[in-house]
This record gives sequence, C-alpha cells and structure tokens, in this order.
Amino acid sequence: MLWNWSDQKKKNMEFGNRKKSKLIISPTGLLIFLLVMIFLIELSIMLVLNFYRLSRQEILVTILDSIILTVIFYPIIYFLVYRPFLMLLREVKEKEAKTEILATDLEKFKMAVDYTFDHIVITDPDGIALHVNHGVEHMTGFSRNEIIGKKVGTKELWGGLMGQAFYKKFWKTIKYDKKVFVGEINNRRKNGEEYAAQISVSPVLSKDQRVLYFVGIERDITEEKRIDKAKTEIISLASHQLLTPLTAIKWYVEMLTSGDVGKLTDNQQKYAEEINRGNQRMIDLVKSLLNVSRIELGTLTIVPKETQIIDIAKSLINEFISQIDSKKQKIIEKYEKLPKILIDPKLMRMIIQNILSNAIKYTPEKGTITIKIENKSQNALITISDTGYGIPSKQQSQIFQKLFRADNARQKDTEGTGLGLYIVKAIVEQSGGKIWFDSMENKGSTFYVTMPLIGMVKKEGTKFLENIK
Amino acid sequence: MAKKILIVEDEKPIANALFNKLKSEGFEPKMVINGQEALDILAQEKFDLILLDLMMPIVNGFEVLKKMKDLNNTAPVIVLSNLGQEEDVQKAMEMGAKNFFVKADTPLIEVINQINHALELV
Repeated sequence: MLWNWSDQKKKNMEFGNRKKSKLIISPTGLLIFLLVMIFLIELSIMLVLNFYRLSRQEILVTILDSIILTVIFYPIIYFLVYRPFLMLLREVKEKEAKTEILATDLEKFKMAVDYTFDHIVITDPDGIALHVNHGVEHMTGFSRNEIIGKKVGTKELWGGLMGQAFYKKFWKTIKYDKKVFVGEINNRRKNGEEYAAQISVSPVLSKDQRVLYFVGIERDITEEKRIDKAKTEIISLASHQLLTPLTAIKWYVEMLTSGDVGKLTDNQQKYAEEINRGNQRMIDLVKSLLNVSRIELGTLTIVPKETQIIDIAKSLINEFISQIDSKKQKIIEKYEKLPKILIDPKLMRMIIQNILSNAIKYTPEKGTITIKIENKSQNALITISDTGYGIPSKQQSQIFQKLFRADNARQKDTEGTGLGLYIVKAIVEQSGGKIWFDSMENKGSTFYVTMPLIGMVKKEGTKFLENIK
Repeated sequence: MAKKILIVEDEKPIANALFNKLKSEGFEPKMVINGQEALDILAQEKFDLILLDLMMPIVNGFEVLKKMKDLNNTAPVIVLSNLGQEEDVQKAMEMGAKNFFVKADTPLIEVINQINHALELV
C-alpha cells in the first residue's frame, strides 16, 4: 500500500476513544432526591408556620406527620413524575444510541470507501465527481480538490484517451440502459503516464428508476498487461526463430525426395514425405502462433482495398475443389449482387478460407457445403453451412477460445491447432464485422460473418498476418 | 559458362541447402555470412544474381540493398527471408530487389525457377 496507513490508524483511534455524552443523574437517585425534598419541604413549612408555638412533643408529631404525608405523596410522585420521567429518559437514551450507531455506520462506510486500494468515484448523473477515495488520488495523481466538481472520463482529468465509440457505448450502457458497464480502459495520470485499468461503473437508481449517482471502480492492470505483452512477445520471437530450422528441414527433405543425392527406395521416399508433412504442420502452427501474437500485441495491420468478396470466395473454392471432390462432397454457391467494398483482401481471404476449410474437414463424405453471400441491411453477409459433425452443444460457448478444439473435432482430425477460429474472430471483430454460428451435433454447422458495406476499419498496426496454406 | 550466384545468408544450414541445390542445378554458387562480407566481395567480383537474406548480424539485408547501388551492382537481387511482412516486402522492392520470397513458404525448386526466370530476363 502506498498511501499513509498511519494516518488511518490515528483516525481509527480517535474514533474508538470518542467520548460518549452520558446523563449524570440516575433514575433511582432522582426518586430518593424527590422524596427527601418533599419531606424537607413539608417539614419546613410546618415548622416555619408553627415553630414558636410548638412543644417538643408537637415537633416530633409534625415530623411524623411529614413522614406520613411523604408516604401518601409517594405514589403520586411515582406515577405522575417519576415514571413519565423514566420513560422519557429511556426514549432519549434509545434515540441517542440509535443516532450513534447510524453515525458510526456511515463513518465506517465512508472510511471503507476512502481507504479501499481500488479507485472509487461517485458522480452525479452527468458524470460530475461528487466523491473520490484515496485510491483515485493515488492512481491518477490528481488531488481530491482538483477532481470534485469536474466531469470524469475527460481529458481535463485522467480520461478521454479512448475512441468516441467507446465513450458512446459507455454512456449508453450506464445512463440509458441503466446497466453496469464492465471493461478495460486506457487512462492517463496527471504526470502524463498512461495506465490500463479494469473498470466497472454502476448506476445507483431511485425507486422510480432515475439515475441518482454513478459509482465507478477502477483497478490498475498496467503490470498484468505488461507481463502478458512480454509473454506474447516471447512467443512471437520464438516463433520467428523456429522458422529458420523448419525451413532447413523443408529444403533438405525436398532435396532428398527429389533425388538430388541419389534415388530413394520406396520406403525412404514414404518416410521422407512423412517428415515433410510433419514439418509443414509445424510451419503452419508457428505461423498461426505468430498471427495470434500479432493480434494480441495489437500490431495487426488492416489495409482496406476495393475488393469483391465473391471473387475471393470463388478463388478459394477453386483452391479447395480437389479436396471437396476427393470427399465426394457437394458444394452449393449462392451469390447475390454485391458492390466492391473497402476491405483487406488478405484478411477477408483468411476468414473465408478458415471457415470453408473447417466445413470441408468436419463434414463426412458425400456431405453438402453451402456458401452464400448476400447484401443484407448495409452489410455483406457471408454464410457457410455444412451437413457435418457439428459442434457439441456443451462446447459451443468455447469454440472461439484460443487452442480450444471440440471433442468430436479432435477425434476426426488430430492435426488442428485450435487457433483458426480464434484468429478469425479476432480479425472479424478488429475490422468492424461480426461472427456467430448455429450448430447441432451430427446435423451440421452454419457460420455467419458480416462485414459492413462501408468497409473495414483501417488500422495502422505494424504487423500483417502470415498466410497459412 | 555457369552463372555465378552469391548467397548472402547467416544461417549455415539454409545457406548450405541453397549452395548444394544451386550446385546440383549447374550454377556456380558462393556463400557469405553477413552483409559486410557481401559488400566486400561485391566490390571485387561480379555475380549474375544475388540471393539475399534480410535479418543478418553486422550489416543487414536492407543496408546491403542500399549500399549496392553505390557499388554499381547490376545483378538482380532476390530476397529470401522469413520476414514475410508486407512492409518488409515493400521496403525491399522499393530498394531495388527483383523479387521477394518467404523461405518457409517456398520450395527450393521454386527458388531455382525464379532464379532461372530472373536470369533469362537479364
């Protein structure tokens, strides 16, 4: 913890030792006091009135009279003065105790918020900061006084670094949908240093569903991000290094099989081809890993060019036709008229190639594969369906996860990497499209990809993806 | 007369494979292991074609391409690299490379075909 805990300790102690205001008189004391007072008053009156005329005996009688009178008065005093007083007293005491508990709870809550390590901001419905905890000061470098009264999430404070689309979605979620927003965000500290944070912003609603406040919590994940990036960079570097020896194997096997150093026997030829197949698989895997690292490092580049998606589909089918024929599969093509759109042709090719090759791979012989490209509400919709093995319903939610392979896919084809659909989804989403699917085990799968007709979002990264055959 | 080909490649197994293949195809290959050696030998000897790697110690392939112009080198340069990135390809081509191939994607026979093709055009 970086802020001063001793400060908190001191406050805690003050809090515990705070003097409680107590009533000094006890109720029983009061009763005795009242009775004695009555007795003395009666006695004094009698004595003052009659002192000079009284004999000693009469004084004693007077005292006795006073005592009797006091005893008679006792119930009246008890019921008319003492009991009501006692009740009033109890009430006051209870009220006081209650207020104290309330005050203590409120104080506790405030302190809990103030001293939480994570950054907590409470704002009004327009995002104007009403309360900030120490975590905010510590994380952003702005002091409480600098923050209160200003709009959070703007360049004036620590925000404003994300694109417009992000803030639009953010405000829509919390203000209009009145839902919790959870996400990752890049912000900037007062000293100019950028940091990554995991944020959640919750609207606090009144009974009639009006937004009263927003409570925003941020956790600094810069360090986690850095470690993750370092890991990805190692994968990228290692993959690159792996390509050199894999190339050497590829070329030497090629020289062997092409008889450069003498003709091989049939078995030697067969074995050398196996080596080549294994090696090619490794090259493809290494390239997939390179692609994953590029996507995860955010270095992927998207260069949109005027492209006809239908042409890409046709050329891919041409490429796959021998595979389709050898499995005696039927391919149906349905193309609607579609304008050329601004997309990255290499990435688009990779998307269709991946889904199409899965459809062929995971559909038994004599199955049917259908590819449909339509112009649907400002989007190009690409639908690829098959009559194949399908994805088990239990595993459907995991299908786009990195390295995940469905059980039946694993059985039918041992060589997949589990990276294809992960890469496809990342490409589609980073370029502004959408991807989803329907699937039923042993019936088939249908994958849908949409790409806005206005084209892909251009992205100035530093790296392109490797083409995998 | 056999065509003289310079192989500029720091990875021994790769350079050897190219050397052997070129020899068996009837070329006269020579190997150097970095950009500096390439520039040194190019200053003394004439070659018909150069196979150039990009990532090398001391002087890398891009620098070789840049300095080759000063040496009045007219031999076509084919870049063979595992840097298959669009910007690397583009940069190399802009700097005068005749062609660009990603090693891991290219069979040796294809390299030979490309060499023959480039030599025919000269």
